[in-house]
Amino acid sequence: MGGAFSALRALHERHARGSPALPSPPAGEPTWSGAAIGIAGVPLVIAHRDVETITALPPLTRIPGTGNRVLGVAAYQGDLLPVFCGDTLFGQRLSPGRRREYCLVISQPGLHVGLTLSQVRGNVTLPLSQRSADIPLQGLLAECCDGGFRRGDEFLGLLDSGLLMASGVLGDTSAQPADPVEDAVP
Amino acid sequence: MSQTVLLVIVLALLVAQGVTGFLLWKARRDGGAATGSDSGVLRALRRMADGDLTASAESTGPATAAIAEQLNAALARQRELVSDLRAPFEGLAAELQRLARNSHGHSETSAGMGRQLEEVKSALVRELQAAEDMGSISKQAREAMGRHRQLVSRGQTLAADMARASSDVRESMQETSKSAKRQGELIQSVTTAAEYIQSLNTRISVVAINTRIEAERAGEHGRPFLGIAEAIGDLLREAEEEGRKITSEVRMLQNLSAENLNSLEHTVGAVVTILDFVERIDAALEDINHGAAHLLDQVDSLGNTTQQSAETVRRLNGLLGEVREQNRALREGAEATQQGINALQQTLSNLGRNLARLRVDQSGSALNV
Repeated sequence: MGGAFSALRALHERHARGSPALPSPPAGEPTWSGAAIGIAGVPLVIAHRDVETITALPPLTRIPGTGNRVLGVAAYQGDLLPVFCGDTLFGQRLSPGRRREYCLVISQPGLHVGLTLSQVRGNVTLPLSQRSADIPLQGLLAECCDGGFRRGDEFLGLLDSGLLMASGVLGDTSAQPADPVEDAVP
Repeated sequence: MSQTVLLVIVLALLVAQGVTGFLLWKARRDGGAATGSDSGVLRALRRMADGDLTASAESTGPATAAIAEQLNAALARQRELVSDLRAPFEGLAAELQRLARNSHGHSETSAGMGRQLEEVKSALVRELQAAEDMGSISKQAREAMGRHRQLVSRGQTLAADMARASSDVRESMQETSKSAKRQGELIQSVTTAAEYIQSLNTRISVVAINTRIEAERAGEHGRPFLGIAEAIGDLLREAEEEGRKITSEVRMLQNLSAENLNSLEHTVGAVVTILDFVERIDAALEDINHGAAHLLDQVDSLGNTTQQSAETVRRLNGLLGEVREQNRALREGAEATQQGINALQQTLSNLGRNLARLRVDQSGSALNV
């Protein structure tokens, strides 16, 4: 028994010496995971933790006196969900063509809104090496994005719900100007 | 007639002179030497023999007085006769001169007419040659027109075949166009299906995202859902890839179908245009055929006219030959007349010279020709 074991060990050692070493597994590249979406035709990514869900656009009830960036309120899981138009809010234009079908529900402390999406692309895992702090975006999108990822010729802005809330754009829903009319009169 | 009479008179005078001379010669031989009474008669006879009709016989003898008287009377008659001959002789000479000029003029006119007839003959020969050439050309033109009409007829047949073929092509194109439209409808249906698949992919994306969100929200307990979300994501990527391929290919098919449809419409339009052109060609060929028939009639008429002209020229040529023959006879006659007049003038000249030897007065001869 011991002889056989020794023979096997010698055989193993001889083949181990004559054979090339096994390749070492590559070190895991740090990645970032999130959801790839599009708002107002601009490709974006958003962290899963910033998203409550993505849902089909529910029936909406218009709210009188609100701006056209507020599409209305929807009944959502026993609660009321104000839904903003992503195209009007970020692209300063009405949604072109067909009606938007999905909205992104963001639920943060002090923030519970829905944003219509122009595109739902799915989950995405991107290497952190593609992270970029330069944002080739303009307007509110540049204000609400925490950098982004460069994938080939495409730039995916990283939408940050905290920056979105901090921008205060969701806090003003009135169709009237922020300043009182009396103040505007000289 | 007057010429003959004149000749007879002149001959009579010459005979009378000869007879007088003979009688004088005989009287001398028979009588021996003349007496004194005969000397006047003898002198008169000698002068008479020399052509002097002014002589006068004088005799005192009884035997020769009558002779002298008769001789003087004969001389007087001869002087009168010679004097009377002057005017007819000069008229005859002038008439002969005029006849000679007229005859010469006729001869020259006949010669000139002969030259003109030769020229006319040459012109007629050229005209006949031209008529025959024209007839040959008319015949060739008729043959060419016949071939031309055959070609036109063949062109009309080809145009009719082309019209039929174009009509068939148009019908076939219309059927193909219908098929292309049906194909477009099918492609549109496939496009709708592809869009529905794309919509499904979007829904699956939403499910995958929500699954991932819920898994992360559930923490450690949600780890199995992470696997499910990854699997859904993998399936979704494959489906999206295939969906993109389908959408791209369907879009290509749409473009191809649209191009084919457009091309078919253009082709149908081109076929319609070809049909229009074929109809115009057919109408033009018909016009050409009518024109060719009319031209053929004209060529036939021209050929007939040319043939008649050639026949007329041939007849003219024959008549011209006869005229030439007559002109030649006239010229020969004029030449014979000229020769006769020349001979007559020569004779008249000789006669004049002979008559000039006769003296009828003291001034000179009887006739100066």
